[in-house]
Amino acid sequence: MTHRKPKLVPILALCAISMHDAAGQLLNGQFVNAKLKNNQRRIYTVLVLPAQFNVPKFGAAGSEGRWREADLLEDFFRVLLRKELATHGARVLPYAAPEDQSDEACYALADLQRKYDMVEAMMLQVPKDVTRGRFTLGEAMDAYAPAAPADTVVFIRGRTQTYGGWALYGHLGFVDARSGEILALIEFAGSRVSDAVIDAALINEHVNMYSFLGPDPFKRPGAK
Amino acid sequence: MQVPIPRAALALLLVSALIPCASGAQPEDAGAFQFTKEDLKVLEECGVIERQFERRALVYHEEALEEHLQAAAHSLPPISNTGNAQWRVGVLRDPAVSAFGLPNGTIYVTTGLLGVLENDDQLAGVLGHEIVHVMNHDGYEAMREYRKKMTKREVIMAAAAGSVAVAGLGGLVISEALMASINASPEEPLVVAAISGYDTDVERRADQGAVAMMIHAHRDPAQISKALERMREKFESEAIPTFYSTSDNIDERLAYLRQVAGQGAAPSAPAQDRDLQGMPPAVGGAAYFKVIQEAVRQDVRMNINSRRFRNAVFQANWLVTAHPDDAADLCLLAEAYRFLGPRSQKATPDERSASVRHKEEKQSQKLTGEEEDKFLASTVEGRAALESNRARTEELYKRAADKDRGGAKPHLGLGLLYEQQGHAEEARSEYRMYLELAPEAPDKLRVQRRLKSLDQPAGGK
Repeated sequence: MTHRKPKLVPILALCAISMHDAAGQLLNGQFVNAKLKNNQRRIYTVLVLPAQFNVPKFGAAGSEGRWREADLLEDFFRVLLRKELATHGARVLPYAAPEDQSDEACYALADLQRKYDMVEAMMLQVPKDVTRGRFTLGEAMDAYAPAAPADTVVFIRGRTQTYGGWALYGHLGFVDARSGEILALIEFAGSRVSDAVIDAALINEHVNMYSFLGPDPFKRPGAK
Repeated sequence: MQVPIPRAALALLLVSALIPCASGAQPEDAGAFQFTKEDLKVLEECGVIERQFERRALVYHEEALEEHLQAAAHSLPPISNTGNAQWRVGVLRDPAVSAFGLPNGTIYVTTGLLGVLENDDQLAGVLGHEIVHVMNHDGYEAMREYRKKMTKREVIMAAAAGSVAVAGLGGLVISEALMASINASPEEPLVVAAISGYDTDVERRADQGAVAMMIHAHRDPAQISKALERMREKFESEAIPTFYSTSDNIDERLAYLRQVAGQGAAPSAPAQDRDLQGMPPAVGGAAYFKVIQEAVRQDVRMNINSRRFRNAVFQANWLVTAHPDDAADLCLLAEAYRFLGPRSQKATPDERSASVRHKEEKQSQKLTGEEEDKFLASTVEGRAALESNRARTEELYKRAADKDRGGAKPHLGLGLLYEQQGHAEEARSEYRMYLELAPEAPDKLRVQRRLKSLDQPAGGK
């Protein structure tokens, strides 16, 4: 019986590709628009849009989307973020569940989320350009009526990996509801978090997040 | 010496070979396909995917359109429940030209595809193609193949100890951008395979089955080729390949479809193939347009949102040609021209070349919309196009305001146009008019903010 030597080159190439794939998702930083950092622009009234998570399952028979888990995580994370923002002094606008909205309102939200995805793909290539206010959703924001009373709209994108536990990472996009300009791109990541400790891990990430937004990002002028 | 086969005999041969695929509602022997546990899991997954489409508001709901699509699908002869398929046709809100059938019998067509087709026969052709895929269990087969490929790949990955997870899709990898465009997970190979297309032979079988269905339904099979020709007419560079938008696929399909459908429609067809004689002309163009127009309006907005401005102008022009006095459609066309900005309405032959398209795609991935506009406007051609498109925009908004005297929308459009042009005074006047005519508009606050910024000394652009 002959034993073949494993071909190292293709294996290493696959490793490199996979490492690059993972690294490409992690920004290792928080990117805040100079206007926000210099207090030219403050965040008072926030609308948190429904989160969008990819929760793939990788197994011997390939990959598949775990939609139910994604739904749970999306709902959980959005509620958590709303609570966190409110705790830190932001006024968080209520958001009607999709089933209580008209088809037109649902379509408008889908269009806005899609627009954000397009801009986010570009942002992730050069995230530091967020600091100089390069990215904007433009007039797409105008078309979304529920955002009109808000000054800031928050988009949530996340993803999990399930090799030996849960690793979760993603981004929060803070967008100026008036101009569509991206105010901040905040990364969150929880490595090896299990279902049970996911809550605590994410809250920790949020605490760190606010330090990047500058001192008292949600404090109104004159407020104690 | 070769004996030439008479065309009619060849047509008979072809059609008789194709008809069993369609007429018996069983293009393949249903008994030959054994459902495994994994297949049943795939079936279950289809329901979950559909719920996700709904949850993310990707499905377009309009009763009249849904009924029309359902009727078009059921006009094809063999549409009965095969295996686990429960037939249903849905519309996805997406400007990409695409259609796909899930193994559970749900067929999705995109608003982008509806806007490209001209009549019910073309629609039936597309639906027929997808129905044959479902009836042939192509989705299940693709998933079985995928699982095999992935198992091999996992062995290699396991050898590469310490490597992190890979979002591998085996042989079914396609652009992640496409998945983003439908907001579907790139980890969902079932959807990926259905959108990007199956193997060439499988696709050819689906085309042939669709032709046979069309003939049986007294529809004009040549309309399938016509639909493909329209899909080939691209106004934009397509960064996202789908089975219905890939030129190579279309060229190849056109070649054999012309042969099959062309010969099928030959006047000397034998009497027993009565379906081939007196083929009715493509009917339903006007009825088709009427039923899809609202979906096309949606598509114009999505095209603008996705920076596919030429498509938006093309579709909005279509609407205005049909309703020259409709203020809403005039506004939509004006908006499409406003966003078209420094681009020409039609790509020049140079711009249609593969290399230029590739360059355009790269550029649009690197530059933001505003940067791209600025870059194009710095060229002589861009400046000329910008001037001409702005003039057209202004004319259309004014026409819309004229047609609908109390309408506020044209004034908002004019305000935005004048603000872009740096005509602060005119912009202010139009914004005020808008607020006067629509005091309760949902974007009232935003327009007030625009007015305020124009009033500030440095506010005028």
